[in-house]
Amino acid sequence: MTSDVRLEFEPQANGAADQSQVLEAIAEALDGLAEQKGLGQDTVFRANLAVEELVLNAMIHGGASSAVPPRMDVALAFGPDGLTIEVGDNGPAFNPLEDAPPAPDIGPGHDLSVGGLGIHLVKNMVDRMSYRRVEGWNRITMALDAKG
Amino acid sequence: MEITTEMDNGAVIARISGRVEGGLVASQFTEQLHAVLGDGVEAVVLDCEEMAYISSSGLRAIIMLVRNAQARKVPVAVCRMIPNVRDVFSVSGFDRIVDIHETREEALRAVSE
Repeated sequence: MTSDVRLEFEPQANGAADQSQVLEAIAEALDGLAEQKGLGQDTVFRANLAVEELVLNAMIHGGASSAVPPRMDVALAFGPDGLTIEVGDNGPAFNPLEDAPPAPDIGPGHDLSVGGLGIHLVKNMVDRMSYRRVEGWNRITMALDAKG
Repeated sequence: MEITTEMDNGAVIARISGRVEGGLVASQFTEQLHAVLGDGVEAVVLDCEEMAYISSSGLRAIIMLVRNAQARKVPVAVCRMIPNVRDVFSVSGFDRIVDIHETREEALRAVSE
């Protein structure tokens, strides 16, 4: 896709500080698009949440080893129909539409460490979502329709 | 992200502001939220009026607070979320474990009963 913004990440470790660096770049890119292209606050919120959950998921679970996260990229394209986002990582194949655990029960006694909450949020924040595995990369494409 | 607390009789009101995202923010948030449930606290109100953003990392910290409080029979209520934050709570199934209110007064009344 022809993107307005393209970010590439090659984190060397998966500490909280490494995660924050990635998250700050994503939030900044979305704020930039809001300023330059009039992306609405609702779209910025939903896009930020979807991208955060996917990149953190890739960093935490998707590394070739537990210590080094995969390479990742994020592309954003905003047009009259809305925002298109592509999130890629070169970790092991993971299709969030099929391989993610079901949405967890957050009630008392249920284990929260099983995961699934983040991906469940992503699916509910975007209007469309698809997955491809291309040349060793996971590529997740999401669309957020323009409102009104 | 910032949490400021005030006491109203035995209830602690924690005002959460800013972006509650993952990484360093989530670690700080988890730690600060844990401290909200101090000794002698009889009820907790989370005032989210100025919370601009939350993702699953922050939600997990709030779920843990709710569970710890409930285990001690301390009631918890959440109030004043912006619509996007409210959506995140609803989609996560939060309504099933904690009361969500429009105003701080309603939330305080609910936990004082």
